[in-house]
Amino acid sequence: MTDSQSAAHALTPAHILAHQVRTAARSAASITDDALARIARGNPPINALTQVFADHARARAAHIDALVAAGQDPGPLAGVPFAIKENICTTFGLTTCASRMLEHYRSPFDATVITRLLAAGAVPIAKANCDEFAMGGSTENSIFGPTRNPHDHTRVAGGSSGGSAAAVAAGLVPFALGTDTGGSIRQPASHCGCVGLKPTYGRVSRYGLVAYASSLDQCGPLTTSVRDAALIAAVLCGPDEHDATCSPAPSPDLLTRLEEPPESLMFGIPRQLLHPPAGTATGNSPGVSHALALAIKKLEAAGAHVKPIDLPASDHAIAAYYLVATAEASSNLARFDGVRFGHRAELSPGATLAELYRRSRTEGFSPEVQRRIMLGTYALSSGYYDAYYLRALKVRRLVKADFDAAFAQGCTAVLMPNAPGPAFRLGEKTSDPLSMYLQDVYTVGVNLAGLPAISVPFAHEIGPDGTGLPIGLQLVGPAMGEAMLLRAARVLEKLA
Amino acid sequence: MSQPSTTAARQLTEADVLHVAHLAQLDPTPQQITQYRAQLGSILAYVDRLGTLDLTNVEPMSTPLEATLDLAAPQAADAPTPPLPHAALLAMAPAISHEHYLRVPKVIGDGGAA
Repeated sequence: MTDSQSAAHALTPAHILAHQVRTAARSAASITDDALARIARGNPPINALTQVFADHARARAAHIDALVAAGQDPGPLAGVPFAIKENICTTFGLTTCASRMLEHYRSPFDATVITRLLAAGAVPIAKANCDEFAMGGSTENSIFGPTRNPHDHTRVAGGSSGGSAAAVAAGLVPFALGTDTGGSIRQPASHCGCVGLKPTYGRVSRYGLVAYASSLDQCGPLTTSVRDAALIAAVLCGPDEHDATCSPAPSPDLLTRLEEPPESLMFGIPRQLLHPPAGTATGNSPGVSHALALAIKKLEAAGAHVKPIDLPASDHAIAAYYLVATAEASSNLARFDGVRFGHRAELSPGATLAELYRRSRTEGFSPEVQRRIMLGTYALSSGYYDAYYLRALKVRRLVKADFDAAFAQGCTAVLMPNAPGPAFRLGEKTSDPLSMYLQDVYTVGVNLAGLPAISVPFAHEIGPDGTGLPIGLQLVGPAMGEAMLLRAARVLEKLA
Repeated sequence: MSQPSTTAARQLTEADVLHVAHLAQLDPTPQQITQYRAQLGSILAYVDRLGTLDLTNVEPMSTPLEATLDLAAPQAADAPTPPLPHAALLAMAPAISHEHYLRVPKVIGDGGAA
């Protein structure tokens, strides 16, 4: 066990901190100072946080303490420090997307998720590392360098919200914001041993998230407990006039009935995971297979119902996902041209506008981002649109239909892994992009279907050197079904 | 949900890579072109598996919003809202001209040749 691991979860959970501040049992100022001290001590070995806003955080905390002293409501997250993924716009600090392209970018506005958390009394204290423009699954592809897993510094934190997950797991902050386009909240949460919630597409405003793939992106919290995830999601959810894709449904009550008896829940398990076809293997590591089997056994023993389900289209989800996501990325990232914002190449006099575009983009984007832009451009180009992009959209329909059928059969949630194995070693997959993409086998279908899903820490896999590596399990719920999903997650959390 | 396996690299020519780079406004080095050719070829060979599926009568799904929104209904009032201040937008620009304009290379004549 490393020093960072021993510190994991030592920070008091967000719901308790908020209660302490609201009842004047503890000041927001002391909580902020404690978090700043933890960051100073615990961040350097793991490189989870990229910018720390000490003065800004202390000023916010003083404001919260003044509200409490004046007898005013400081909000449900009063005085709770949090970190923000680098691709979420803030008027304080920089919003770099971990890219040279936006290395010096200052946003003129706050994302809606930030506005809401500020109104709820939370205290933004740092920005968190990620893969450039959220494109990656390891937080190695960043101008800030890689984030290291708090449980084993030779391994990745997962990604793309790896800095957010590692910061929470190492006890630097009680919660962090991440974004999830193909598993970027759930997979790092699983690898680092924290809870990660990806809400239904449309539940949380995307205003102020730097767009990667607009029909897939969604923002959500990484926390130390399911209760904290519910508390923070309740603040994040709800309509937003700045985002036309945001549902008009009001934020749901996620806390009142969080403690649901297991007997009322039915967990669907993909049949391919229960009974792999003869002559094949699931491809999961022993720890992941064991965690899933143990969860099924404990759920049944607790009185929950378990039902085999079929997700046949999921075999094609990665292929469909990487066509849809990169096609949307190629369009979204066209805005970076060296003219309105972002990196601008230094060119000799007489250079053309086209040269400015090409040089600025080539210098500003890393090879991984360029690769995805080119793949998406190819999929949308004349002669290939029908064969790639259109077919991918049809497979997307089938992926969603499989999940819908499981819920129509009475499943409360679908239970499956987040990734085929625990955190892999730094550098292990950087030279082979496809092998990195294939790690997303359990997460991308959820984004294609637009469903809510959550990763809950459940077990550990003992690595070759005896280090315990966290394994999280994933629960997927029906669209807009966050309340029931969180109840199921709470049941799983108690059985871990 | 069996584990996917990688497949053989698809034949992608250097001209293909250059064409896509041109469309994407990118300017890769010869070394990068070689690398992208192999990597994109391998990814395309993998996604080619979609070609084996019978997708007759399956409607494409471009957004999951159909589950959460009435897409036929107006999503927002058709009314103007104040934009971000001019100065805030200019402050983001890497180069401006005459205090009020974005600076770009000459585009008239042969300046905009792509």
